[in-house]
Amino acid sequence: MDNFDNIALKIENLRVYYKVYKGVLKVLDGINIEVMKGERVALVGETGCGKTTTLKSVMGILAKNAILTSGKITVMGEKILEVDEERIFQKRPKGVAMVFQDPTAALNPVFTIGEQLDLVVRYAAGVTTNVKEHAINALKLARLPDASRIYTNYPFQLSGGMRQRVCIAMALAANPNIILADEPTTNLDVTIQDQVLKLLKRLSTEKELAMILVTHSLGVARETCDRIYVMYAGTIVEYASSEHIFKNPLHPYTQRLIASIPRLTGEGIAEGIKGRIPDYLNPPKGCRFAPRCEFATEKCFNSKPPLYEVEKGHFVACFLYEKKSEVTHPNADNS
Amino acid sequence: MSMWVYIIKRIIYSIGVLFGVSILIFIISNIVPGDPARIALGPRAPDWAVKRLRKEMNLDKPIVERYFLWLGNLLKGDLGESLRSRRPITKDISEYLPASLEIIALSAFFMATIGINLGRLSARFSDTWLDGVIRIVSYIGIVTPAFVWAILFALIFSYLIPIFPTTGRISPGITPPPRITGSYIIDGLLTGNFKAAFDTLWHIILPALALSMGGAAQAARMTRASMVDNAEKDYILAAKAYGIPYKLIYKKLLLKPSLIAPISIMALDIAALLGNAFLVELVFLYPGFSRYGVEAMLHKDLFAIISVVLIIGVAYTVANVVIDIIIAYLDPRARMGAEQNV
Repeated sequence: MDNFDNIALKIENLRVYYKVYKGVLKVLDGINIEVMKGERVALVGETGCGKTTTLKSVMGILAKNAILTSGKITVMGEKILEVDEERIFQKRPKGVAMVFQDPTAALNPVFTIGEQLDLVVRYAAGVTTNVKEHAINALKLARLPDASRIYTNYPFQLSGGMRQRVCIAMALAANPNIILADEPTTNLDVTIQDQVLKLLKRLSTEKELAMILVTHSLGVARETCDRIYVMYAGTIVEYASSEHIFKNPLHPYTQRLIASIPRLTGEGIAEGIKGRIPDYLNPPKGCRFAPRCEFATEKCFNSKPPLYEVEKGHFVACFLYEKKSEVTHPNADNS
Repeated sequence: MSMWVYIIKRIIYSIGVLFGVSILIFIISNIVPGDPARIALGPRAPDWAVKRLRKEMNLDKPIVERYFLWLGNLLKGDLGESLRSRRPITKDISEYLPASLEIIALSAFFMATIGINLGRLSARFSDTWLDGVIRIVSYIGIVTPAFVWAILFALIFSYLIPIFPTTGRISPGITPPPRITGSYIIDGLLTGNFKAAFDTLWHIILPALALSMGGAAQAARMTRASMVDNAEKDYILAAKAYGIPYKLIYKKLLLKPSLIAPISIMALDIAALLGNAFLVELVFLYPGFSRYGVEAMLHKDLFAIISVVLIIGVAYTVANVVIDIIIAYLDPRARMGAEQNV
């Protein structure tokens, strides 16, 4: 957009389908995401909305049955994925590291932490001298106490929180510019969750790392990230700075999502969102949220809403804002 | 350090298991119908002769007493006397067992190399034509009994294309090496009689191959299944994303955790060969332990049967200890005695 040199990661019009026995699951339906250098961006949405698929597309580790139908991904100005009519160009991104959701599954159970870290240092960071020091240094960066002992440990000898720190260390060992964190705290205790998030936040600040944090919790997103992308059923429905998303949520889905955050004020169980994520075999033709949306009109069912810039840097994919896209402070009454 | 403690622990457990096995075998073989003394002497022997033999064999004493008499002798290295050959059973076994162990060792080698490598190849090229071919071949390997392979191999490789000898353990013109361990190959190598060692090896290739087919096929399928399964795990995806070379991933990161299941099964398959090789030994007219065991059973040669079953029990126990050691090597969780929390 404004300055190309400042963009760490750019995903354009990414469509990923999955071939399954019953047909084709049309999961990602044209995703656009932009992350600036050193910026922390959250990708928020329900389970199964395609957050992990988005990250895996960047890393080039999609499952075998995935079909890339369109899209272009650029990392630090270098094209790593481009789908056109004839062929799919794809290469491994340099300087991107991923932290997986389940630290137990992300570490090889039969090799020591050291053996695994050394490989990452050697092949991802391309360091061939003092490999061990590099690895231990990465463990220290991830604030692991007694790094040289952990270097000789096997994953099963560590607690869940420590394993996730090891995964973060592994990501750091790759000398990345961008870290993709896929729900890094979902499998951890609440107290550890907070520590891990703070660690990620501090590391990104200290090392000027761009970060995409995938989470299903808007609260976590606000605490950790500068900007929030709200994702629904394989589409980006709204994005803005964290502050704006909370102050002025525009998309009906975002509004319901915020309303469904449980509060401690004793109002009982928070309101949920009626209905379920659509069937990806036969997704709605128009807006994918339309079947669950109380404001949906005929138009919503028939055509896909484009992104409207409602206020500066605040975009929403909803026809409610079609005519008001110039207005700085819209009222969400009708269209 | 912890590895040795683990191994010693396993061996002590196994001795306990063997003790239980010995009681079980002794009871079962003593309560099956038929009087061993009568069978040994034949139906026309006078009653007093049968009675005398029963007394000689301690068959007139209560079973508990007999067990301890037998166990005492066993610990002294005496397995009793065969009713058929009238020789000490230890002597019989010391002739047949090394011959069988030679075949089994080679067979184990074939199983591991053929099985694991085919499985690895199949996983590496999963869902391609090569994978398809390997999977069909391993189906055939599993469903075909070993003696069919034996006949087939003998027909092709010793009759149609005479590369290998058809029968026996060593060629008639070659004198077996002097006995040290009882294995012609090892004794031949030890005494410098390489000709005898090589000739013996040449004789056992076909039977060993025939015996290994089932286990190799099984191992190939299990290796493939476990590798394909593990290839979807996050730690392999991560390794790919970090740019670790494909070869290294397949040969090391993916193979090691995937070998645990196939190796466990393979070790049991190998132990089973000791008793199940009968038909293959018959096809190749090989003086092996299985044949000795079956013949002992057909003649109700009481102490021989007990000894054969006991040795098969020992083989299974040893196989289990070996499995545990290999798995301890492959899997740190087993080695360090931690709870499995995957």
